[in-house]
Amino acid sequence: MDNQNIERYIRQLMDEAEQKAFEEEMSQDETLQEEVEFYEDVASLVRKRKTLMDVQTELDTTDFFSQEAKTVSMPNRRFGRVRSLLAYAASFLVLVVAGTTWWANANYSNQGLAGMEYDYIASGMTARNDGTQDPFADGIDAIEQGDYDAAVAFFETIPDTDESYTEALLYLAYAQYEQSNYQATLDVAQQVITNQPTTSNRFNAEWLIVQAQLASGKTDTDFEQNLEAIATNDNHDFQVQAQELQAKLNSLWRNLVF
Amino acid sequence: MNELLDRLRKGEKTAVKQLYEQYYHHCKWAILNSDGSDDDAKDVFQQAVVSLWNKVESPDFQIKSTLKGYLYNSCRYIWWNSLKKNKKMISTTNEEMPVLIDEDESAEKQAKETRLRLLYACIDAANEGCQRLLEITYFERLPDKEIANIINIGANSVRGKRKRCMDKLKACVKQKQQNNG
Repeated sequence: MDNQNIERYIRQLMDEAEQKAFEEEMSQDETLQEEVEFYEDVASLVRKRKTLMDVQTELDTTDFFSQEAKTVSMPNRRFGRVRSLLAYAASFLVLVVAGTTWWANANYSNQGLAGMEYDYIASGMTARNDGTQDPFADGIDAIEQGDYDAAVAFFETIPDTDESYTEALLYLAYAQYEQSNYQATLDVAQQVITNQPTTSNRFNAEWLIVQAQLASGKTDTDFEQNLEAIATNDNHDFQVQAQELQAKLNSLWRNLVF
Repeated sequence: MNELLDRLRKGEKTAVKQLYEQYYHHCKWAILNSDGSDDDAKDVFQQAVVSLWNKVESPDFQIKSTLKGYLYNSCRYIWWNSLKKNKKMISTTNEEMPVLIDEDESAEKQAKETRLRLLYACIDAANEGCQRLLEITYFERLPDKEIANIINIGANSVRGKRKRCMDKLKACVKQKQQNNG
């Protein structure tokens, strides 16, 4: 096969008459067509590869590739504030409570233990940022401002076709928990787990289920098994919190709760 | 998204750069969380971009979700495939293998996609001399006389050298197809 003509055709070195004649020849010869296609593919991929290499070289000069991988983590500053608020609330409660029995009830009742702060670090969630604004920004702001009704209303509108639907469910469950709507929290958190979430999202959902069960007084075998599973999982994000909760549930103060 | 894909279709370097700036680190996260390294992430994302680039040249190509989701899933699929081929286990995640994106593509299109992927790998693995010669020919589009001066061979030898490079690529693709089959 005459590769010279193929090359001249691909590199557009033929005049109009030559090109027409060559295309006519191609239409009659399948092997020639395949060979031309191969040369076209090589030319196209070589150009693409060169462009990619050039882009990578440019980005290399700015340490682009060594930057942190992006998760769909909420900025720590947001939930750092929530965590601080929860910490201040717990301290305030401890300070104003008078009497040992009243203190034990405030801290060792189901509601008291379920009010434990937890880190809501959503590492592992799928990013949805298009570079301009986080589509969940309004809902997250509502949570931060304590407007859980607005947060629930926001996250309930996220369709199940959304690529970050599982993450929206997690936010929804959290907001419902803050509304004291524990059954809804349990239902939605269970749905998060059913949706085969990332490991981090599953851990968050499992801890939220334990919190909701505790807050609603559903401290039966299912609750104990859920808590035990977290407390004995060395890889679980909330293992330490679960062990602390177990310790408090088994403590002397728990016996003073009425 | 359509504007970016249009620019990519035209081969604009700024479009490629934008893809990296907006979506590379999400792909990197997926790879690092599946026992991959920084180099793996670079390699996988490059393959994902090339795959997308090849597909946008088809007039009926459409992304059903978002471009971010598409590239993210593309990265995961490429990485999982690579691990499967190398028989490596993933220790840090319980996630199942991602579903092949564009599942509803015709068998013919999928076969073409595979051929292009193998060919790209062969170009990537070719010796530096062939890579440089092909770049000068098809990217810089210089005439053979100038190419001869640049790579320091006789003008009459340029065509022969290029043919040998093409033959090596063909053999490489055939070998990879046999290994895959």
